[in-house]
Amino acid sequence: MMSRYSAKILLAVFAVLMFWIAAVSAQERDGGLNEPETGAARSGAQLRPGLAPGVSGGAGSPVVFAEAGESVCVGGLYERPGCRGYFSQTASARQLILKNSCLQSFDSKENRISGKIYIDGDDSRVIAYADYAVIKTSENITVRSLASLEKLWSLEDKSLAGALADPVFFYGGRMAVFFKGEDGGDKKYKAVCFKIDGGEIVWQSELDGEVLDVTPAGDSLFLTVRNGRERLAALKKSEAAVAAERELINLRASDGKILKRTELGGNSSVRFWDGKLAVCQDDPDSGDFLLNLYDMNFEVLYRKALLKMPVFMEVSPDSGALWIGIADFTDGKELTQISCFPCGQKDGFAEDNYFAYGHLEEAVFYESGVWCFVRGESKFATLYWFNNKNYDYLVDLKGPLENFTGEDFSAFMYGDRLSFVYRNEETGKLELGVFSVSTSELLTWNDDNYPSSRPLLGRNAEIFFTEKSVSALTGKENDRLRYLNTKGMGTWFDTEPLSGEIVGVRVRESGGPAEKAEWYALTDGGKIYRLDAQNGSILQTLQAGPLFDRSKLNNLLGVLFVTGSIGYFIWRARKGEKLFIRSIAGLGALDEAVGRATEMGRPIFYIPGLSDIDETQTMAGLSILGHVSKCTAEYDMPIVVPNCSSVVMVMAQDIVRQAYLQAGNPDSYESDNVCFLSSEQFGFAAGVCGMMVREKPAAVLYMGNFFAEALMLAETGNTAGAVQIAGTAAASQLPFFVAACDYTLMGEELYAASAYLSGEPLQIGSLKGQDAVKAAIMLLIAAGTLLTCFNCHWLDFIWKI
Amino acid sequence: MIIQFYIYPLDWLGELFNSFYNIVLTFAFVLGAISLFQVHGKKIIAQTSGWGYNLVLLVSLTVTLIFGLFVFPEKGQPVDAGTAFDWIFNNIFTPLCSTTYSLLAFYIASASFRAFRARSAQATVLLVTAFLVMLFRVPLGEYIWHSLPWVGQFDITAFIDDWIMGGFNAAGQRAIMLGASVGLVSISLKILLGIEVSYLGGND
Repeated sequence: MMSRYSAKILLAVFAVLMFWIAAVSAQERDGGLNEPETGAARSGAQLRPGLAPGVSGGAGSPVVFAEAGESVCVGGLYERPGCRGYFSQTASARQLILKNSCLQSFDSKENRISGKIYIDGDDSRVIAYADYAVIKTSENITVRSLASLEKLWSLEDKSLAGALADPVFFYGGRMAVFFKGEDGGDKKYKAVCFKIDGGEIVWQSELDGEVLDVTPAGDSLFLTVRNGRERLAALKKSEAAVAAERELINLRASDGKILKRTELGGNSSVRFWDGKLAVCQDDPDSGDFLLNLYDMNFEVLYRKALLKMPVFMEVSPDSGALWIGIADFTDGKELTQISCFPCGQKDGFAEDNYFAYGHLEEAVFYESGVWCFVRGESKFATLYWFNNKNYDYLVDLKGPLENFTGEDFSAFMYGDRLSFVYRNEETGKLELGVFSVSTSELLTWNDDNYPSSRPLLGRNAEIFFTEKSVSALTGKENDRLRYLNTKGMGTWFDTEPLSGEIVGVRVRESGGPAEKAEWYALTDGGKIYRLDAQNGSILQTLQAGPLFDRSKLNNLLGVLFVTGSIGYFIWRARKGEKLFIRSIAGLGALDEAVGRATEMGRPIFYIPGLSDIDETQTMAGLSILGHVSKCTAEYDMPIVVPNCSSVVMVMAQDIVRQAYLQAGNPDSYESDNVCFLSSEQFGFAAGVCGMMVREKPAAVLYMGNFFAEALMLAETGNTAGAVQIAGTAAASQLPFFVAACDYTLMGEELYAASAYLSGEPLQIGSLKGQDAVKAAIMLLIAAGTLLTCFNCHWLDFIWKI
Repeated sequence: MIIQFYIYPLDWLGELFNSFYNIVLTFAFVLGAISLFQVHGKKIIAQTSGWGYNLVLLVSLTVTLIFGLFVFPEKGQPVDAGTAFDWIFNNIFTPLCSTTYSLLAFYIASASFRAFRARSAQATVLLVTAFLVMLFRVPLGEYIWHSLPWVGQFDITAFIDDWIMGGFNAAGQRAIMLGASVGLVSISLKILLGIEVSYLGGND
């Protein structure tokens, strides 16, 4: 009776589940999921990209990626296992690097999802350019509308797909793509320029090698190309004796014509500076490291020898000066040489050189100079300030940057304040520091909630800066966005609690005062929150992610198939149909083992495995215990059940007691025989082995989940001369049981044992259902093997569901 | 629990039920400790043979419990690094576990001795395969193989990895795992439907 009702209830639950999934899927297709919360929100927030140009946020899940009209594109939603998303800024576009993720376009005016695509497999780059989302994989590029994610065109459509080099460069409504693919058996490298609108090819240009970098300058694109030729270079200072040659190519951006080319050696870095090209390279002939100043025709205007290849070379956005940092060693200690080359020099390179002892972690440009975080031998960093007015000073950050590590370090300048985040080596947590440039002091915190001079942000905190004066912080250890309003220095706020764990944050400033800034926070439930930066209140909530975890659809279909098959055979058995099942030798031997123990007058040991009751093997083992204990009760024999789990012990005690009661032998039941030994693996193993050696059981049954102790137990039982029957689904322990035991129930046989022993039609029906599923799997394997041999991949759709 | 596995926003349900389980588990630990005291206490009182070992067990248990529950350091918890409990764990418990684990080597030797006897054709195949795998998956075996003059370019390691371990062995293991997985779904379904109740100590 109970079974019939249970079946109906389960079917009803599955029906509701299916209906829900169908409804959710339909709703997602329709782009529904509206949840406006305020009138102001409904009036249409103009969402804008979160980070200021040139600033990259912490690793994590980006929320607001790019905008097009009323729509924003949202990336990095956690819909797939192993989803990953990183936000970065290239020279020509804003980009996301996604893996196993989902990209959605969200109409902020209509408050609905207007487009959605999945990014599967390896890292893919999603680049926002104008109103387009350009999705680049290693083989293909697809151009989509940013507003709806509708596909506009792809390289495949133009029969141009092939191995692509890393850079994609955008300029004036055009997209330059660089191929390194096979073409007609020969390696063919080329640059192809498309009109982004429609994909019309503007020009094509053949190259000698793979493009590594693109530097725009005037009407030219300067391509750094690895031409593939390797040669022995006379590199005096380089550790590598063989280097791939590089070339620098001046390519006219309007028609793709190669104007000029020059050799670069094995290493290079190119920047457009002060109307010229500054190129750090190793000299192909001498192997010296050089800083060359070229005009557009690669005529050397000035040349300077460098100690080594620079670790960084950047042009200051304010002063336009060129800054170079070189890592060197003196007296066995690391030394960073910082050189500044101001603009407008007529006679070569007038430079200012500075030295910092330690490893350069980060350089932050500010006005006409640069702040450098340098990590020395001690566990704290030193902050250096350099500019081209021939003065420098340093700030010892010993206090706040104690236990400083270079890991996860980032720094950002806003107003006259320099913020930095670093990971404390001792605590493993991220910490935040703020340095005031105007007062030359480190600011301290006075919030009661954070009495420490160093606010601890948690192990997984992320920090997001904007150009103005607002920093937002989030820790994955709570459901609130914790933020710092830097105008009221040292005051920390928590936003309203959000539903779920925050997995990504972006900040948008409306162009006015900092207080008008807004945050966008994404939680792991797929919700996007728009928050007021002034008081942390929720302005708008949007369900961006799916309700149904689509990545588990194939899993659900599989479970439904197995369930349906088993249900069908149970139904047939219930109708009275006689079903045949094969015999299992190990189960037939159970009665034999009990009989032997009776004859010998020795106890039976029953070990239900090492796992707890949440492991199905343990449940299956306990089912067999019920049958065995009935037999022992009938013969008035003791059964000893040592346990590793206290929950299993309580259940086993009840099972054995019931069996003795049913056999009319309650006085023979000894509760001490079903005992707890130890929850530790080898403590338990040692205890059981000791008991076996002392009590010399006639039979030992191992039914459940076992680990490394399996052989230890089985060998001891064997030495004690017991008949041993083992059953486990732990594939790694099966060989040991096969070697040391008389009978072994392998995998499914353990689960089938209860049905086999009971002989009930319903149970037998479930066994037949299992067999039918296995037959289907065998057919699929055979068909898949055959089809794959003939290069047919018809069955691949199963994995793509 | 099934629904929360597929429906993203309901994952809190799974966490909630797991926390229920953890609470039950904690109380069951007390039952386990009581069982230990009952079983071993009776043996000590009755002074059965080897009752000294039972005494050692109970004393060890009591001492560890006291240090783990009641002896607080100046700062932190009784189980933190540097406490007496930590010392017991690192210097008594861990070496004892390692010693027991190391005994496995001898058990493997004796089990192998029995298993690898060429009593039939199948047993002979097993013996030869085991010999190949055991010998040529270690550097010494590789060295011996390459010192043989007649082996040529044949890579025995690749053969063992790709054919024996990656082919026959993996196929066998997967077959067992597939069958076990189907059985797992079946028994779970039977438990959910109330068809399988023998683990509760009864048939209905």
